[in-house]
Amino acid sequence: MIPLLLIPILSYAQVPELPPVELGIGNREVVWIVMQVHLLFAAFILGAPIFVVLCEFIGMRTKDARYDRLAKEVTKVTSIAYSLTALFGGFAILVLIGLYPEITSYMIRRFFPMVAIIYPLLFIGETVTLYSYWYTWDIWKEKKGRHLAVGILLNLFGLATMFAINAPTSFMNTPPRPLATATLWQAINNYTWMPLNLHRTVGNITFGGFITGLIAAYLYMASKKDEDKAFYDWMGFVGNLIGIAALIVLPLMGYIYALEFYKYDASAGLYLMSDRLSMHWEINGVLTGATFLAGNFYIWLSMKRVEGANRFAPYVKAGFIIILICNAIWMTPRHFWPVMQVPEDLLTKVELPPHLGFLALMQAKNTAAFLTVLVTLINYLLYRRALKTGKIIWGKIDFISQYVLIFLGFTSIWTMAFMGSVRSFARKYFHVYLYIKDTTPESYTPTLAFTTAMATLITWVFFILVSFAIWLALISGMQKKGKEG
Amino acid sequence: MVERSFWQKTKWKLVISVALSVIIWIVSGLIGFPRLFQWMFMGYVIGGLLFFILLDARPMKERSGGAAVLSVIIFYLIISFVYTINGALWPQYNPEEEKEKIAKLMKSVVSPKQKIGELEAKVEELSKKVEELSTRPAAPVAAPAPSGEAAKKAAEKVAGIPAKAGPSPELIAQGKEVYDLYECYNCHKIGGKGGVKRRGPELDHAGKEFTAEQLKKRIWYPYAPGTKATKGFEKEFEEQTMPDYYNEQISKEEMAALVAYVLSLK
Ligand code: HEC
Repeated sequence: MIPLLLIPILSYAQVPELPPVELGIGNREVVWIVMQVHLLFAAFILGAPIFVVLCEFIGMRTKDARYDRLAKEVTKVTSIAYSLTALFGGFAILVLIGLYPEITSYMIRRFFPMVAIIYPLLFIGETVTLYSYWYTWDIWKEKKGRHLAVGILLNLFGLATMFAINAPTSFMNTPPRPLATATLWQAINNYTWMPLNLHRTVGNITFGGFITGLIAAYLYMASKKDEDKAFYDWMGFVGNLIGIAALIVLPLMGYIYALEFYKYDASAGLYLMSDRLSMHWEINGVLTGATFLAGNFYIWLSMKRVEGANRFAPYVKAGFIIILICNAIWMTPRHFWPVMQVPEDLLTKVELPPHLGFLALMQAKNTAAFLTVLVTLINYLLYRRALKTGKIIWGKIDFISQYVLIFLGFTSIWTMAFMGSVRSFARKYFHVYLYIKDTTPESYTPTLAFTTAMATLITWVFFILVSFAIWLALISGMQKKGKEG
Repeated sequence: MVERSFWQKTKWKLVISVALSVIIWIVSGLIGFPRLFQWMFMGYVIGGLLFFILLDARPMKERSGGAAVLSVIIFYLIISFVYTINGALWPQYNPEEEKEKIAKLMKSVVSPKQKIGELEAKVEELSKKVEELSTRPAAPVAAPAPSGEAAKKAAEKVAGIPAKAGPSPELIAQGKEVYDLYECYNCHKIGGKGGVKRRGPELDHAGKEFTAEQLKKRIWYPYAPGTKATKGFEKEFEEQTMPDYYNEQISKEEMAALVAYVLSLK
């Protein structure tokens, strides 16, 4: 018996050293896609329940059945998305171990009690509460309080799970120094952990809201009956509202996050904002501008169909002009050059002269962001004013609004895929910034063009899967009902 | 109310956009914006024009079934194309340059497995050293310039610089390379070059102000007790803008060259 027991130990000792797997199509790109798709699903399943529970609560208080239906339908999609999250999560771990064994093993050892005990427990908690929340929806129809409590518990598990996994992520960007003597808690509570938590929480709500808008747009297009159309029109409106409401605090969260990079290491902050990754913020500017314009455009389309709302048109248009100007300021860089130092002979061609340099300063950007947010708020208030005097007929909206919703869904996914890589690039050629070098041939930062192409590819992968989930959860059911009815 | 035709609605927008473009072009040119920025503003006017045309467009026809699916897919393709191309329009950095740089920075790298343990041990050792430094009496800051044989020996001891004939031009050139490799120029100006904003002090005369040992300490341990902030940079000193980790990154040999380079700036 005893020799038998020894076999595993002996064979362990004989395991030959194997180099990391080489896929030949770029190990980094494979991890990039798998991790990002996993993250997009995770963002959705963590973001959606936050406002789902809120909607259920509003439905309970106002007795407006639409809120409950919205909450339920989004939860149905969430439960399918949840299994896809887990699937890609498992896949991500396999890929990481196969392609980046050393750093993966280091990270697991570094965060061992967390990844081995806390994370699995949270995962189980999340699974149990999510499925209970979904399956008790009808059973506890009369016991809304109890059902809501499960929903709140689900959110607590969700947030805790995200905070937990944000620890290793932020650790790789800003590890505690000196690392050798850092405790587990110091590794978790590193410089950018809390800012990342905040940024991702708010970002996930934005994302969830816009995906809700996307679901609504799909179903609006698929609806045959007027009452369905009315409902999905309304749902699109609420989704956009949630997305926009969270979006207006997002620039502030981003600012806090970036500031923490500077505090951790000024040269990391510079690298991120002014040096090698500075042009990436131009893309971010395009995306933020497009999102604000589209979100406000949608509010305007919703307003336009309210009787007598045309009197607000001049104000709304003035608001759009302000947003455009602000976005131009937001996007005016110090120079059009991919690194901080511009060659002497190009200086006057690509760089702002010193007396205009203020346009590139944070104060100018913050003012522009503030004004954009202000205009958005005013637009919403105008919409409320319009509703006081005119009536809204749900289900009758300019059809282009559905494309606006789809655009917002697509753009928010693309933005996350893109900015996620920017966060990752901020580590330069390190796995763990300044401590563990990435010794693979792909430690360099790819070109901006390559990165945007990757973001598009990832968005497509995610979109196809999400569209499938929506179809599976809602559209197929609707069509069946339609045939029966 | 009669719905105005597309052309009627668009006519004025076009006129206004053209007028606006001309005004913006002239004014921005006068204020001193470089051409590239002026073109960006033109892009904005065009984008704004398109947006306003969309804003006033006639309501769109409802679509359903296959037509809706197809239109959505085409819409996705268009956005994807625009977003992907957008990335290629901005200035790009050639990864080959970066790879070269990384290869230089990696030279001393051992296998990552060893490294992790080693590095952590090294850090510990270094933090001990800092402690030692702090318990030692602070180095005399404005020490009279050492002269003669003793000074040469001292210099040799601290920076590994062959002091017999002063630092060789090759060593100084290597030092310049180290300076560039670690991108000190992002914060420091030398001869008016580097640092867009004034993030750190000019190093033009650092060779006169520091001895080799002081420089080495200043770069490796910028916040070792006893170090005083550079005049005018008290806030940056307080915020520890100058990186405090070069002791983990810049090797002894690299430091010898770097110090020789900075000392040559007089
Ligand atoms: C992120 C910006 C930053 C980077 C990068 C940086 N420094 Fe500094 N450095 C500063 C600041 C700010 C000060 C002044 C504050 C202080 O005294 O610490 C300073 C001070 C110095 C001084 C003292 C100057 C004086 O006149 O007192 C020297 C020497 C120096 N740095 C050398 C270097 C070298 C060499 C490198 C590259 C290996 C480097 N620095 C990289 C920001 C930076």
